Amino acid sequence: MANQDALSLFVRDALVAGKTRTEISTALTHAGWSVSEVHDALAAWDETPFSPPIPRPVATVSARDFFVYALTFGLLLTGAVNLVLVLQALVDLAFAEENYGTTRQIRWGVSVLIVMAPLYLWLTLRERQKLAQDPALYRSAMRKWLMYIALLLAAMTLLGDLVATVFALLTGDLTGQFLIKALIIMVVAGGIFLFYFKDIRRGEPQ
Amino acid sequence: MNRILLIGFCALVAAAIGGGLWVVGSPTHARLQKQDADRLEDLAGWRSRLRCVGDDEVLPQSLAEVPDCPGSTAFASRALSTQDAVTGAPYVYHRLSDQAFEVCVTLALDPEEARKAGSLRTDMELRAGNVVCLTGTIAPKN
Repeated sequence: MANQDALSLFVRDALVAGKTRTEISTALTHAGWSVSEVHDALAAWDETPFSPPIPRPVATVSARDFFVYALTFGLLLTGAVNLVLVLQALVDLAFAEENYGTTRQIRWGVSVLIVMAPLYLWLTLRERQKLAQDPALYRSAMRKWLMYIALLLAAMTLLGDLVATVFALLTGDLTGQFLIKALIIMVVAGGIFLFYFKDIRRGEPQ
Repeated sequence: MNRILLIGFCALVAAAIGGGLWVVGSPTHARLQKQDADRLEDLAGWRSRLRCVGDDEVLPQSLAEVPDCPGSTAFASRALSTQDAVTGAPYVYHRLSDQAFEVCVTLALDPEEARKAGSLRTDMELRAGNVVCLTGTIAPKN
């Protein structure tokens, strides 16, 4: 980190001294800095011909962001899993003669949804209001990390669902009940993926 | 787009909660289901205990006289009440012969619900008025 600070300070001083970016890049490469390090160090400063050089906005990390986003995404994950479980249990009840264990599963899932869904909704809407008031919050590193984790999990779930459906087709187990249950997973995971995919692009630099 | 997705998810969650509650019934209904499962468990326990009497060759006159079943499975030797824990009504015990018996209990809900929930055994007989009975015999010593 101390090295990175020294590099950043050097780039700033060089820009103030009127050196071109090519000159700075050559000097740094000669000193042993890698191409990516040089690129990142130069990208931290705006290319507008203004002195002193203007720093570009950087990702921020705060304990508050960790709390809010970890809680939000924890609620999302737990809520989504239980939403799928409840809907699939309802499908099972519609098809099966017995409901051994299914009603307990529904009661548990409904309990989770009753507590977590309104809390998730409140946190999400509250965060959206804050983002509208202060777009700087889009640069929260925690927000980006957790959104990408949500995207990753949703994408993996969708792929797993597709694989299971194809496998069921090939083994002759593809029933109406299976198809509906697979469709439920696809709707929930696909919805989450679309929701956050669209959302994360708002915070990307144009 | 995101607003539509959010509204869609809210609707889906509301449907899951509403549908789930509608299917499983009220808390009172759940409590009654659990009580019925306990009653059926007791019924099965009494039959196991009564079958244990085989060595003595004579069925007792009432459930209170049924001896413990030492050395048997934990299920057969567990403490059993002679009456319904909720209503206080005694479990019905009939000696059909010297070797045959039946024990009966009245459920709070339709026995069909207990069957779906898996707490009603296949050998349990359904009678009118939510009454469920288990019959059994003891093997006389030769």
